[in-house]
Amino acid sequence: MSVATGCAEYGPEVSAYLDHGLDAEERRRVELHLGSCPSCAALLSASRELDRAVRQLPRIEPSPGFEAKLCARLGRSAAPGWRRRGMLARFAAAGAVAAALLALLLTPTAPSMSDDDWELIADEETFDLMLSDDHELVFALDALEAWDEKEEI
Amino acid sequence: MSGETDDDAQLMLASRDDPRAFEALFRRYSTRLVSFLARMVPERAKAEELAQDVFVRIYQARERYQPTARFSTYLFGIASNLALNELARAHRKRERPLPDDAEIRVAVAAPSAEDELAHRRTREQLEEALDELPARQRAALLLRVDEGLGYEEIAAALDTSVSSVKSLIHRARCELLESLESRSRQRAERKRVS
Repeated sequence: MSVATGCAEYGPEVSAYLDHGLDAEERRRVELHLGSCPSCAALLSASRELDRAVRQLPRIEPSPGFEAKLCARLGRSAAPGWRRRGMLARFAAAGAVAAALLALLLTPTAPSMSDDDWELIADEETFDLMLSDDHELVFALDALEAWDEKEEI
Repeated sequence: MSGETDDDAQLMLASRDDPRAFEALFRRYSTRLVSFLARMVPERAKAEELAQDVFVRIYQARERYQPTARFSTYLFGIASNLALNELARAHRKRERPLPDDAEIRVAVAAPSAEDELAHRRTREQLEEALDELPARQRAALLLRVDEGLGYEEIAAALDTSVSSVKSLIHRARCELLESLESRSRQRAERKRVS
């Protein structure tokens, strides 16, 4: 009989024993049985090691945009305080973008914008959420649009 | 629900009036949820989409939420349901995350390159063996071993009986052990031949 299964009568009980899924009487019966069944004793030991190995598998972290996408799905009415705090880093970047846009407005030649700035603007959903809270950024964009009407960028 | 305080259930109730409560739940469960779903469904992107579906559902249902079970049971019940439905719909084999994915943390620090290689191989074999389990066995095992849900909670999450859960978990362990033993024998045979 295979180590992997224990004996036919008690095999499933061994798993439940490991998982604290038995009542007191059942636990006593299994413990008694484990003392005399090498196959079930081996299954218990192997199952403990297996569980430990499964627990040690690395957690799979959400991707960087996961929270922002969820906020976008939940919509403006959801968790406004959460959006403001959770996206603090993006607001800081948005401040940099606003400064860059104002520089664009005020200088004859377009200043260079970093890849991060462009990526931020390209992330339209996230940007729309930021606009709802960042009035300075909205002002900067309005000013840029007004300038854009006069000059081609 | 048990007589023990379920802080997360309290947060869920509080989220009706306080968005920070829902944020707290998100912080506690986002990695656990993505991790569970990424081991259940083939594609990483789909796993994240399903994880978001779970959060959206519980957020939209927060006014109706009643803590009749532990919050984790409620959450992973929805997650299991979505994952099993997705698998039934797609019939695809799960694509495992690449070992050098920056978002995956190495669980154990190994002292040498050789040990690290052996550790990684063992981990990959276990992940492959998990992939090959029938979906309900995999779900039951992960909910028990990784998330610590009890048999009754898993039964509620998977909408089945406790005896069915006992059977699912036992079969999952047996199949994993046999699969790992078989892979180990094959590796030893390859080494012997070479």
